[in-house]
Amino acid sequence: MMKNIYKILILALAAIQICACGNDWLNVEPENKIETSISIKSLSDAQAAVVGIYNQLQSYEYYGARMTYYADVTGDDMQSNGDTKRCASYYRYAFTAENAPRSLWEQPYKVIRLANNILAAIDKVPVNANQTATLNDLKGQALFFRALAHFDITRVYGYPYAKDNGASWGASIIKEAYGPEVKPKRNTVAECYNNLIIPDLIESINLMTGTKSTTTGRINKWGAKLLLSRVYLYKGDNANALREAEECITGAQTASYALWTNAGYLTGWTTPFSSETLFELVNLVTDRTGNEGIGYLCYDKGYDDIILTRSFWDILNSDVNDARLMLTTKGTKKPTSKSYNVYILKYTNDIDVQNANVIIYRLSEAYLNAAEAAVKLTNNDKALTYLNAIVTRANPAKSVTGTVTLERVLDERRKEMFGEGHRAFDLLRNNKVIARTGTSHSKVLPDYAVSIDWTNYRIVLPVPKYEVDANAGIKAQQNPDW
Amino acid sequence: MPGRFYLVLCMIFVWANIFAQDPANLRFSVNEKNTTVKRILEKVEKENKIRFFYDERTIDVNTVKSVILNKVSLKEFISTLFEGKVSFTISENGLITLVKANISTPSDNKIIIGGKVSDNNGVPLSGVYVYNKEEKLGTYTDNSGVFTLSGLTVGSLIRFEFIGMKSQVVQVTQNNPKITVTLEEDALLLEDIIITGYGNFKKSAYAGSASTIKSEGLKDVPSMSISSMLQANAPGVQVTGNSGQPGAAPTVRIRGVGSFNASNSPLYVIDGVPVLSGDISNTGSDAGTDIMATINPNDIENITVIKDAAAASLYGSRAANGVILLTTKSGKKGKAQFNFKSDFGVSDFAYRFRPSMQGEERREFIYQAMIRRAIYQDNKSEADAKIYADANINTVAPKPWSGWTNWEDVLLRDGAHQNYEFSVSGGADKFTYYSSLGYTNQQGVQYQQGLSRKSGRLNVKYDANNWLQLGANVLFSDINQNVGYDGMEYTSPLYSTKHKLSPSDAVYNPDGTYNENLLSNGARNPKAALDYNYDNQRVTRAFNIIYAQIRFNDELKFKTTFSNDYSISKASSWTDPRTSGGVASNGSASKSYYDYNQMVWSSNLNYIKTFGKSHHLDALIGYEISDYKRDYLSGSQDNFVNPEYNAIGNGTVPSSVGGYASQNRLLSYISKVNYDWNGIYYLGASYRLDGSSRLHPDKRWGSFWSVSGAWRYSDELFFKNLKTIITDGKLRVSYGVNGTLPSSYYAYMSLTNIDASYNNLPGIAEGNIANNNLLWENNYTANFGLDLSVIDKIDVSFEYYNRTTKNLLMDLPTSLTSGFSSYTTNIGSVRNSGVELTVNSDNIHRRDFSWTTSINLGHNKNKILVLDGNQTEIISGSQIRRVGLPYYTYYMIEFAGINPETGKPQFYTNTKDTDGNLVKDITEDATKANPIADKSPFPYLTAGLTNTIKYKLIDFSFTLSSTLGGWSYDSAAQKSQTSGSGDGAINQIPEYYRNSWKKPGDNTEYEAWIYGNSFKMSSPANSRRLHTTDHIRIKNLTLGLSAPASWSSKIGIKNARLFFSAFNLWTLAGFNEYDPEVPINGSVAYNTPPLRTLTFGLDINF
Repeated sequence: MMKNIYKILILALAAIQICACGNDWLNVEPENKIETSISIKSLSDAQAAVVGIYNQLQSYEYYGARMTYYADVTGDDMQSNGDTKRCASYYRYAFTAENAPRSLWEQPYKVIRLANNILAAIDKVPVNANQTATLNDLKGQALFFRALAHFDITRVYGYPYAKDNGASWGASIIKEAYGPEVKPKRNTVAECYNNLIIPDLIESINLMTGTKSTTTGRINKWGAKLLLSRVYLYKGDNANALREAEECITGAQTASYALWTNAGYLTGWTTPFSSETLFELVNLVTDRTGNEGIGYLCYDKGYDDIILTRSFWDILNSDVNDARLMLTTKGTKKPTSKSYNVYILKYTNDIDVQNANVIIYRLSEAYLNAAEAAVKLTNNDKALTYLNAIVTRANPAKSVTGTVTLERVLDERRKEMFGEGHRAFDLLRNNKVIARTGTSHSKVLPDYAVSIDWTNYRIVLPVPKYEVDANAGIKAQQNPDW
Repeated sequence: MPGRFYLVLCMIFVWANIFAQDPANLRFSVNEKNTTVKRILEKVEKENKIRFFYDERTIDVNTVKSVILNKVSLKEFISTLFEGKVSFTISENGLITLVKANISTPSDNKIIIGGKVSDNNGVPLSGVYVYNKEEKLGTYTDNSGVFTLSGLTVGSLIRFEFIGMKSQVVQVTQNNPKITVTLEEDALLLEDIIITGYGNFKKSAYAGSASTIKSEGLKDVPSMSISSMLQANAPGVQVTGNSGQPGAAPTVRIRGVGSFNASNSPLYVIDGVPVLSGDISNTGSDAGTDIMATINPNDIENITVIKDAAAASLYGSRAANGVILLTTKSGKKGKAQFNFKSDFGVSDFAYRFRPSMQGEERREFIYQAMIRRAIYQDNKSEADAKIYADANINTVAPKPWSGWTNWEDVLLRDGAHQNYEFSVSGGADKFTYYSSLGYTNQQGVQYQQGLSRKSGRLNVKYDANNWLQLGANVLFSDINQNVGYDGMEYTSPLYSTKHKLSPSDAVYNPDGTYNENLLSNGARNPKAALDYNYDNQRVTRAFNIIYAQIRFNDELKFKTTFSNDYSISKASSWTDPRTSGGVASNGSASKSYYDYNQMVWSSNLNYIKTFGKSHHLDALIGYEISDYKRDYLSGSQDNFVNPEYNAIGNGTVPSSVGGYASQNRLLSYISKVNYDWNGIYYLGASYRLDGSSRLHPDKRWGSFWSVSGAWRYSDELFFKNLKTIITDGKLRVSYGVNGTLPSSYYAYMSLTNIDASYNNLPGIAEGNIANNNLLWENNYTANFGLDLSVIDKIDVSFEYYNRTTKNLLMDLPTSLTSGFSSYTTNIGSVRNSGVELTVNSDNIHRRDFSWTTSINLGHNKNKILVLDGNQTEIISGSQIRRVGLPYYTYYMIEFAGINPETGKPQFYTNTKDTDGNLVKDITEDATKANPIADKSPFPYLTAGLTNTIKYKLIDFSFTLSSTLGGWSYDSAAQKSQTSGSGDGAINQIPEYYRNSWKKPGDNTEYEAWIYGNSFKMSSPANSRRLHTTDHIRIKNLTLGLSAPASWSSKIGIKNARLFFSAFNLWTLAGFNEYDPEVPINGSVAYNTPPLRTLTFGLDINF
């Protein structure tokens, strides 16, 4: 009898095994993820969702490196330090439709998705009267980044507006978070500007606050105004560009922003959130892009990928008192037969190049945007005012007089903004030639890449093969000749 | 470890004391009038759940009797019932055997017996367990095989048991007899049985497809990995690897590749329990760390590979890619058997690996390349060309101050290994054990690479009483892997010695500091990295199984097995500030821990019965739960005061801390039934229901099943005449379904990550698009087999299979405008079909000379049937997935030779004409050439051949392996085939450029190598990079010499053997730039190639 009890006990144990583990036992949820449908339910959720956008911007495939260097290495100020470096194919215009990278297409759409998630949920978030301004500011930020992402796709994949009056294909306008079955087509550059980028920016400016913060690294009203002035400039709407740039300058000044001074120029660059930075992307040691980030790529002991072109260095170096020379350095490597390298110091930091913040918008650009728009509007007085603010700041002994030409503004813009993601766009939108002269260029630079302008199909990237394969509608809208 | 060990032992003994029951301890009450003895016995059997066994010819059970007894012992009961004429024995399983007692000798008359035991070669066997169960008396034979045993009675049954031998029973018929016993080898004992977690199959009665590999033939092969034992030893099993680093994770594919985005790895089962397998490295190295490296291969008794659905379906949702069953050794009753084994040896690359030009040769080559540059590219005169070359040669190929550097000598070495193992096994009446300790240390061919392992095992089994058996298999193992940089890392020894460095680069500066001004590698001096940086992976594993089996009666058994497989995988790395990588951070240390915990609890009820004489039934139902958890924690710190003190806590700037846990669960109901009639007709079926946490609650239950049948045609009457030649023959057919789960645990959910952050603020970001309809991927496998034995000498086995995977789990590309690049769904179908042939031949079998040969051949054809339904092809780099072609198919422009006039490469345009045919126009412009799909890394044929020869004290065996019809892709060509352009002249120059084009009219396969060349072969992926992997290789070779028994027995040693063994000893290959055993996808870059290892060893049994 005893042994039967034991047998029963063991069978009971097995029965417990069976009963304890039913269908519900199989419900296992991840600990670092939540269901998307319930992810934005409160003001703090919305805050976190906006933080998610900044987190995406930090990626080295977007503003962490690639979007930041794209227009520099495809221009004539900066170049790849060798033929196998990360940026070499951009520099050499060496992509094919098969192998072109997808980052600058994919990353902005990721931002758009995150922004759309917020915009779809934020109006249902319960807030009290004290919180309305905060909520509006968050909504403004989401709108701003949706506009920025569309703008980035449009300027990388679409032709300059002036070339065909915005008739070429730009981004696909995406205003909601689609399921995987939806295959949107591209919109024209003009549609992108008129139907999304400009209206979203205007709405975001109305929603966002303009207070200068010395810690947050967030976009605000004045950063958005700066981008809007640039957008108008790209579009060729110079009156609006001038107005937005001026409103940005005056508005930012009331919020205690100010141009760096000549004496404070270097400290301005190396101190986070200094007086003229309207928006800088924060890199902390705990939260940084790492070795693939722009800082390490421009560091001679890092990946050593990006250097100044010799021709641009000669221009900058022609005035040894120019404050901006402080933002360059000759490599510390021992001289070899191979290298005569000059590095940019805009992405260094006292401790660790991997932690350097990336300045996305600063007030100097508003002056340069205003000067350029004024020149184009033949308002020479304003052109002189805004241009000289930059020229004299760089070297107090210098100033510009007489009639300001577009070339002069672009030259100053180049010296002020090199390495900040502008040069190729600035030349192309003004129908100028990108000319790679001087001794530093690669021996295997193809002829078309030595001198390239908007008549060459390569000045826009091909829609990545990945998209073309997955989306038949866009396949028919591939950029010409790719 | 000791704590855990004692815990398990204590549990066993506690259980034993609670449950100990024995028929000898039972009390019997009988009250029967005028009943036959037979009826009385039956009644007692029924009441007490015991069984009597007797021969009616010798024991009279038909006598009618009246018996009244109250709570008497078994002995009294039997004695009363048979009036002292019958005695009994109780066997292991509780069966009571009745024996006629010798009446002339009273049962209490004790006698002495003695004798000698030897094997069938007449060699005395020591340590044979000689015992009598009933009297609980036993002894062991001495070194001369002699034993004596006293205290028995005439008529007692004496059992002789010895490892690897068939047991024998002898009845004692007189006092002081001289018993001579010859034990026969029981070679078939193990290979005959396929041990699964759900009951065991006799191989002779198995209708599916399985290959059994006995460890005997492989025990001397110097290998860290069990998986490598499979290579060339089982048809249809392909073992490849990304790296030859010690401890690297191999890739095992059984019958081809059947999955796209889900796992293609087989399920590993150790002693019936599904275990963790694959790479558990967290150092991020290409080579990985194979969790199987924690297992000491010498603890493995046999390996069975299940390839078809018949048994695999029992494993349900994880068995789609086959099952590898590992059975560890167990003890056998008898005196303790000690084994000590030690070996040591050296390793080197098994084959040439990317030789490059050295020293003066390279300088002269570059000098000539400069002259060619001046003449052919700049149109200079020969004299001017010389001036140009003289002026430039010293900037590109200067002889360094320290003389030409051979970087291989600086960064590579001969590997070495040593191995020590000790095991004890044995058993007594109710208890058997196997216990081992092992230590192995392998140094790789790169400085820093290496692996050491400490392992211990204890397998015990205990018969608590006649109905309860308990057992435990305990493993403790600790491996320590030093990971060398592998692959395309700037400081990786192979990448730098074969590409990035140059003989013109000095290792050190004259002042003794590291040269950080390397021509092409800049500050990245790999010697500095080797000296200062480290990357270490440590895995500590405790894998314990305990089980209990309850025998209700002869037919019905219940078994419950509980196991826990716990591993901690710890990675530590250090980047020194004195190396290029550590300057920016001023030293960076990081550590990460993965904690893996898998619990499996399985219970089943097994019913085995023979009806009549010829109907055999074996049925099983079972239930199993599996709970897998993985927990991760990592951290790193920067900025160290002193690089010599680089423990992570000494850093001053914490740069990251991270961690997460994930979990998945599986719940299964299992059933199977097998039936056979007289061993001629076999039928089997299995059904399993699996619920998985990885799928939506509405879709999570999947059912998997199989049916099988076999026919032993050789036992049919009509076959009678042939049976003298075809001594055994069987036809087998099986069909069934099993499944594969998504790799992602949560792919069915729409999820938002909550670990995003910016500027120290917490953030959320959508991370996954939902697919509620996600299902299992299903494998439908049909297998057809034909077996025959010719005059009991040659066994031939032929198999044909067709394995179709449907509902392929695929990460389907979506429009990137959605913000996502893909989502997981079930689309597509792929088929693997093939044939396998195995021939085992017992060529010569004499007393002191034997020779066996075994051959296996496998052919598999892989074909994509459906992609996503819309697309018919997906291009992925230099490969294409196209409907109708194998999963891995190369896709690139076609090389058309070198133009003899210009030295430039030419390509076929391969444009399509109106009929869709390819036009083979020749062009020098690579952008005008269209890529085509051609060739695959999958070999057409894989083959293995093993010969084993034993002559007196010498044993010799070798295994040849071969593959035919596969192609590899030289992915290093995109770096090294510079043609002299760019950095070409300051990198290593491959030796094959010796044969490059030099002047107009040269006919060669290699383009002009011109200094500062205007073209380069490294940029267009082209078919010149495809190379055959056809090869034949001496995979294993062992030569052993045993000491004569007459010598060794004098010093108390049963068997002593010296051996030499080699792995990858010799290779003949169709392409001689790198090893023909290439990774599964065919792509070969700069990873550590397979190694050749030579070993000497000593093996002692006592």
